[in-house]
Amino acid sequence: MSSGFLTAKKQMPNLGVGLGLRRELAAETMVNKDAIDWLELVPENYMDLGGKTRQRLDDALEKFPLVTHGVNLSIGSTDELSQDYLSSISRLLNKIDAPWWSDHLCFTSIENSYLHDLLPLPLSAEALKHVVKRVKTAQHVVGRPFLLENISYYMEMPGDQMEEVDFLAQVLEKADCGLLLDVNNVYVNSVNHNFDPYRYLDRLPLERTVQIHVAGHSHGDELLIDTHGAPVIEPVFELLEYVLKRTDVKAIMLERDQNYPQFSEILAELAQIRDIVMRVRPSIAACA
Amino acid sequence: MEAPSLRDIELALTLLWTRRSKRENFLAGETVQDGIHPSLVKHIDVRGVKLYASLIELGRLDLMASIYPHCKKILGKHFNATVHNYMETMPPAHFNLNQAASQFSQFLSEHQSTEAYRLKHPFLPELADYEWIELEAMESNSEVNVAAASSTADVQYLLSDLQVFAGSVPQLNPTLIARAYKYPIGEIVGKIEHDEKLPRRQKVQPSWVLALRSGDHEARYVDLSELAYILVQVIMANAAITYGELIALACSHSGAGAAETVADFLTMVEDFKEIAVIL
Repeated sequence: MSSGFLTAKKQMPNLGVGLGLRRELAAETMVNKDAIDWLELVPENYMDLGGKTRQRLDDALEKFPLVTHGVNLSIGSTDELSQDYLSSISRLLNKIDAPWWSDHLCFTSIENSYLHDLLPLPLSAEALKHVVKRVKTAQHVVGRPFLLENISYYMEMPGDQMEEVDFLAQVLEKADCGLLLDVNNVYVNSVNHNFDPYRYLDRLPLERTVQIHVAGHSHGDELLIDTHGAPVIEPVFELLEYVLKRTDVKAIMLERDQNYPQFSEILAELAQIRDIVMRVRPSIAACA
Repeated sequence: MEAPSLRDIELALTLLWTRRSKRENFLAGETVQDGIHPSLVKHIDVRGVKLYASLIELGRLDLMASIYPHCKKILGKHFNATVHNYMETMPPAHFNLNQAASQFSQFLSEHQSTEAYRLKHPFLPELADYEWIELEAMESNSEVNVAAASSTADVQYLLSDLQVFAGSVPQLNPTLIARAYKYPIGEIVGKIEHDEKLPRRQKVQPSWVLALRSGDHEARYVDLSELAYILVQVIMANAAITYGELIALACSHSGAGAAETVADFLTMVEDFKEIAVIL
């Protein structure tokens, strides 16, 4: 089957190894351009805002290629897609001229209320059809390639009819969109839900991966929690390497959102990612 | 009975994650609850309900504590419960996280559950508003045109020709928010910050405040006299009003003599220019 997305992927730039643009890390991020190829930002923190926020965005735009990674498109919600949201993010994407945009395979709002958390969807045929339709609409309205990220999920939802990997794979294929593969989420889910992360990866249409997230997690009482607040562990780096050996991707990004360490530790993790890239798929970094 | 739809599932789980009474009933084994499709109950993962509820609540508490540190100090051990009640009563309606906190002052002034706190700390809704407007000014989408801001020297130049001055129009900082409070909120905040004891019964004592963002992107408060507040309100309502008309208005409101009022007015304009209230 021909895929407009896979054709478009060939034209996407190789961004290299990047970091999240975070207020707490912004000053050090801006002066470490040698070690950081590009930045990812949470669009909801910048959409229609001025002042320091806009200044930070402008500073980042001057120095780095930028892409957005949203948290409130709410692609799985049974509410109408928010036209305000789509208009606002379109303005931001136009401003930064992002080569793609992304959000999570989840729902974050219902009855016009936002829960500000990434909430799992029932893995059902109804949800699949619903999400596919909305991804197509969102991608069409915004007019830029769209990626969906696999989330960490901490409960089985009522109504599940298939495994998460099959749900994700079918959404990607049927909606003809890209994958933002979070290898830490794969690891966290594999431990929490007792599956083999490598078999999971083998069942995904990895050729749709445009971007990879690498992050750390924390240990909750009974489950691993995707906090982005701890160092990346070796098995997560191993998953990254496994994916890179199997497919071409355009960008890899380190996520750190809390419990911030010395910036040197972040740079060390970026260097570790870059080592893997240079060893396994140097083309990603070559054009950055 | 029809099988639960995707919407049924999303609504039911959202209720359990965000409504404490629904969650407690569910955890206590109640099988029939409004808004929850009966056939779903036995398929819902109890541990998952508790975990997501806790993640959502922690996120909300973090947000509210970061925006309302002084209200948090005043509410003390009641802060968390107040935030949970607030979020249940006025759930976040915007994709921007900070906007979830925007109605806290209204909640504190209206909701029955906060009546006891209002009796003890009648200034609490105004305190919340004071904390909110700082963020609102800080994040305002309006541009503060630094190039348009004139220095004190420019003001002196303008004042050197009073005819020109009287006919010119003040341009207000577009991020500016003006408030008239029943209580001396700025003073109360100072006391909270210095851990000073607040009076057992805070007396009514009007205060007038501006919140704005200057060209350096820093948000700040400006304490005003009542007359200055009135003048700012007039400028906000009528963007074409001239300094001459404002001086006339100041004279009609002021109990002092005309010369003194005009001198005070000119000082106020200089001060406003310096701190970018007027650009």
